[in-house]
Amino acid sequence: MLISADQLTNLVESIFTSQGAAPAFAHEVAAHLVAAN
Amino acid sequence: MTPAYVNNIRAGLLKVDAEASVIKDNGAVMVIDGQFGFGQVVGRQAMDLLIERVKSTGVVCAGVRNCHHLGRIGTYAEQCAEAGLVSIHMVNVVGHEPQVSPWGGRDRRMTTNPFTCAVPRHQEDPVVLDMATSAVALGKVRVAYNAGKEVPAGALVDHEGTPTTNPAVMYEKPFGALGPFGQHKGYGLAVMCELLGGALAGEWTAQPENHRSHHIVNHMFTCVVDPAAFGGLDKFHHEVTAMVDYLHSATPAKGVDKVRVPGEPERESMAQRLADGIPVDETTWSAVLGAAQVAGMSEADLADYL
Repeated sequence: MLISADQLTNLVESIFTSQGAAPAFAHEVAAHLVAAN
Repeated sequence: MTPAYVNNIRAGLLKVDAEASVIKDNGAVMVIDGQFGFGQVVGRQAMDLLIERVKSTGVVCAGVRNCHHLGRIGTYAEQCAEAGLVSIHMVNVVGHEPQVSPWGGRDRRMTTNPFTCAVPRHQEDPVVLDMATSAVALGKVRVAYNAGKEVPAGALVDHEGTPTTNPAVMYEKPFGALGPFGQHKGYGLAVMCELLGGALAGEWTAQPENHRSHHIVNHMFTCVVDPAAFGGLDKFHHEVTAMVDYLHSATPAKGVDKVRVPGEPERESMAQRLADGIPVDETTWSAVLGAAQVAGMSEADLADYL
């Protein structure tokens, strides 16, 4: 299936913020992981 | 990788609020500790420090150690290139069992040890060589395994050392191994990434005296160079531009649309995926959703993504 980069980034970012990550860090990590995919 | 990150956060192996910390500072030589923070964060912070430092030193070498998974190393090279700087990055991967065999061997002794180098171009995207030193990246083996597909011939051996295209040898017993790219030459580069990334910069290699669990730790040797400190920017930019143009002017081989320089295929792929979406197989998607639930997200939270 194809998932939009924004959708995937938002999901991964939410996962990391739910684990206590600062929103800016969570977004940076999520955007990196999605871009690297 | 997201499920592994969640597991490591919950196990206390990934510190979500850690930041890069300078451990040693000798001017053009620095040791920066990632304190097991998000590699993407502490890696970027380390590059910020080196980019600032190289303004006064012309060249700076650093050990960037104890980072949780740094992800795509090309990101850090591109960060340096955006500041007009050349950079070289040699990385080892420790904290878990090895996956890559030495050339001539069948047992696992190292991991995919990335090598990355970027050269900035005047008003153009940089030239970026960013590669695993294994025959294929482990992520591609995992994607093939999840999708029930084979990997290219020459990348894997089974537990008896027989070449195979079945990615299951990396995930199901009896385990085989991923081989190095480029036979003895790629193996040699992988060893140097292990020794410079681990022993020189990180003090921690894949040898068995060191701790192994389910951790994902990267140590990175980075060298950042200001081209203005060498032969002068005008000459540098002229030569880089002229050489890239010369490469681009080569007649394509049969079946190839055009000649590219390192970094261009990745940028084309990224642009396409940003426009069209990212292909995710069912197994990977289920794993991501499972990680979300482990992380405490409810079905209502996830409904927006389904």
